[in-house]
Amino acid sequence: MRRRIIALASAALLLAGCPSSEAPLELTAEGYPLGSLETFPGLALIPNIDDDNVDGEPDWSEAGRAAEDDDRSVFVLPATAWESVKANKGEWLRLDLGGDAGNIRITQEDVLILGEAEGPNLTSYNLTETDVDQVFEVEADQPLTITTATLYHLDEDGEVLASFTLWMTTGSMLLNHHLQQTEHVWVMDLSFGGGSYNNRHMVETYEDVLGEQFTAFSAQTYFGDVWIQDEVQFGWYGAKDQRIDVVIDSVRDRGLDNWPENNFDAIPGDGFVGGPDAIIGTWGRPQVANSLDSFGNLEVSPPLGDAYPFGRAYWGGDDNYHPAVEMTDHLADQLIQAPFRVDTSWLCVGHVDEFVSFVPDPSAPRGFRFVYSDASAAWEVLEGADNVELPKYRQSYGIDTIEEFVNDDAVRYFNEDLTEDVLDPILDRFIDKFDLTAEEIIPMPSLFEEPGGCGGTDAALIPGMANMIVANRGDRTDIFLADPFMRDSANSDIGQDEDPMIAFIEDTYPSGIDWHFVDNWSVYHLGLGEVHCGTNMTRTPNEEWWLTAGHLIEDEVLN
Amino acid sequence: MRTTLLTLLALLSALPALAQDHADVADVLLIAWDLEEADYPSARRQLVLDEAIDDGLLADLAESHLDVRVRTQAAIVLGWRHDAELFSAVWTARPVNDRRDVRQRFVDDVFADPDAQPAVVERILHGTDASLARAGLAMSMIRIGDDWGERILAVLSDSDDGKVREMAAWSFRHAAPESAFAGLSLGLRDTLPDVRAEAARSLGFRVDGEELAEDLVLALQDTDPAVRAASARSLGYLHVVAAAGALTAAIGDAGPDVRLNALRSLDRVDPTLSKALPGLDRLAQDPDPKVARVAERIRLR
Repeated sequence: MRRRIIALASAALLLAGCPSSEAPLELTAEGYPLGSLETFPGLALIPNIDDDNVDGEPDWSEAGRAAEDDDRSVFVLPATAWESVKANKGEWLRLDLGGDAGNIRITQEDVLILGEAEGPNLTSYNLTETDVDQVFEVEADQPLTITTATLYHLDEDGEVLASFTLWMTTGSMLLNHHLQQTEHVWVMDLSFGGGSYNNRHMVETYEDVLGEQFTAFSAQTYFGDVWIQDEVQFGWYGAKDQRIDVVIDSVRDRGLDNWPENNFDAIPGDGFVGGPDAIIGTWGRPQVANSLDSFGNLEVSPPLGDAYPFGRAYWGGDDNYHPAVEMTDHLADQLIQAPFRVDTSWLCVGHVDEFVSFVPDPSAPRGFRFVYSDASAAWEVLEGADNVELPKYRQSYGIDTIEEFVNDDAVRYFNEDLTEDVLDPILDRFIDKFDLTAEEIIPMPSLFEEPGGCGGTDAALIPGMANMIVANRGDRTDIFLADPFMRDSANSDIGQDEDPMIAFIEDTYPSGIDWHFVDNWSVYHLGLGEVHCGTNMTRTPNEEWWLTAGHLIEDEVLN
Repeated sequence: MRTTLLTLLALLSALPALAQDHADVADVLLIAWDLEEADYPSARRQLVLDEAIDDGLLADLAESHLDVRVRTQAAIVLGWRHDAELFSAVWTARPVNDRRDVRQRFVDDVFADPDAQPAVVERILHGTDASLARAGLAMSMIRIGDDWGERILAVLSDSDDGKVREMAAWSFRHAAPESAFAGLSLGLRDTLPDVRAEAARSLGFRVDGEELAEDLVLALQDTDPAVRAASARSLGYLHVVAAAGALTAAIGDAGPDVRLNALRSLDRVDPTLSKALPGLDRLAQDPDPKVARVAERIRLR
């Protein structure tokens, strides 16, 4: 495709240099800045692959326009374009389609004039003179379909007097990041019964803070699988005033396997997984799935300035142990979020969300701080804390007091080694990939251990607080994270104001954040996950990729 | 060696004539302990119902017999007689899957009851659970509290399941010294390298781990590089000064993780010696970046 696009671009440049008539010749679209349609990526399209009329077929595949179909972009030929044409007998206007004509359709008053058709694709259309603006609707099939619509003003001999080329590009799938507004939050509810294995405190905290923006599903219905972050990843396709949510359904296929279909498939079994404005997609094969195919192992940074206005995606693994290639290739093909890999082979679960995150901070150079697990910060907090009993750590780790923590050579050496071998090199990689400055990095006190059954790989010893949920609503930011229980209390409702880890975070992290330290010990922490692993959410897209991210596509497809 | 159920039943039928002899009852309990999964339930049922074996004798055996297997089996029989609800709860509990599917856990509150220990051991050795669940049962022992170490030792000694033995070796990080040393010594000699490596790692996390320092030094010669690397690391964690020579030799190991841990541990044991290491410049160019990084840090110190 690349060669064809280069030819297309060259032709457009040549025509732009042709002598033009005195009358303005242009195509317009509402909301696009002057000149933006004539340059790549031009008019943004959305792949029309949802099922707005809920008939079990993707809307693109239907003959004619599906009822309720709202996934089309619009451009206009202003009536003024005809003024100079009318003045000279025999002159006329023609619209030519260039590029990937098989994955696009242009209609006028619901009549197909250009693009994919039964038989040969339609690539040229003689326009009919009119006194009113002519409106053209465009729908596309595939992400990153790149086409042009060139309007020609021709004389009676067919010589080009003037031209105007409109670029059209279908957006790629984008994943959400931590600075976007929160729409809805989900957790699996294990708060039934009277046993100590429950997430009652976490569920109640979410309910109290988020209200109707929170739903807890019965974990019993899903075979006790609480790891909802791992089951689905939310993304979206966008164009002006259009949005299709992409629910990426992991190949992990554990208890929550049917959760995406139960909640985002309009008519289960109708042959189409999805519904109006949403599709469910899966990349990879369940038969060969591993822990890294879970979506705690797929995260996205906030916008990184002009270079990466939608952030960069990142996932964990190494050359021998990694997520499904089908998934990572698909992510790479989306271009805009330029994904990269970091080494997570040292972790038992192996997910990137176990040791790194982002928090919003309007006072930061790029509006965020990069949260990174830091053993030195943990020791600093512990060494400065009063020596108290630690009932939670006694029960689970045989560590009775803060003093015992501080004096535990093995835990200290273990974390020193981990920092030198793994955490520091990975931090260097993040610094490089995100172009981070020192002031953008904020440490999260963290210590790791080797849990049983993991063959010498690692997991959080102090509940992993970097594994957090950031909920933005308006100007308000609520962050939900694990109660570290670094105090003489086994109850999250008691003693948080005396916890030195909590004090460190509240004192050193950006102001204006409402912190919620929830008891995730029994269900999540001891199960090798934390709050983020047990939560998922949808977020609102808040940037227009066609205005800010075209260079990330252009670099790849036009050069 | 396994004994058949028929032998056990024959011994049980003779028990009244044995006049409640401790040794004979202990023999019967040991036979039951060794039975295969299919035979065990009926044997245990017989023992629980057999009035010829009275509670006092079983309590004596559970408390003070020299063989942990006898002590545990006696406690199992007593438990089923007097705390059947608790024991049933242990046997019917279902595991939950951890975030990674290499681990399962038992989270019911009965697993926090010290009286449940014998039932957990019984289910590990005689239940029909898959390997991960058995390992999860072994892991649940450390949550139970009290002196569970000897029970885990019994499991380590008698389980055919490598995952269970690996988990048992890990759990000795938190056990009382006597059973921990016995268990870790056993673990270092296990036929499976994963168990040996876990035992070597566990020793490094015990404040009293130096007790088995000689075993760790010997393990530096293990055929498996993961065991050698774990042993090298633990010798450093434990500051075993006497291991400096062996660690110096291990720095020349073909395995990069062995070189890494040996160099680092030598530096912890004797920083002067590591700084003066003749091959330090070469190690700073080691093909393994972790080894090279540590060597460079020492070199520049």
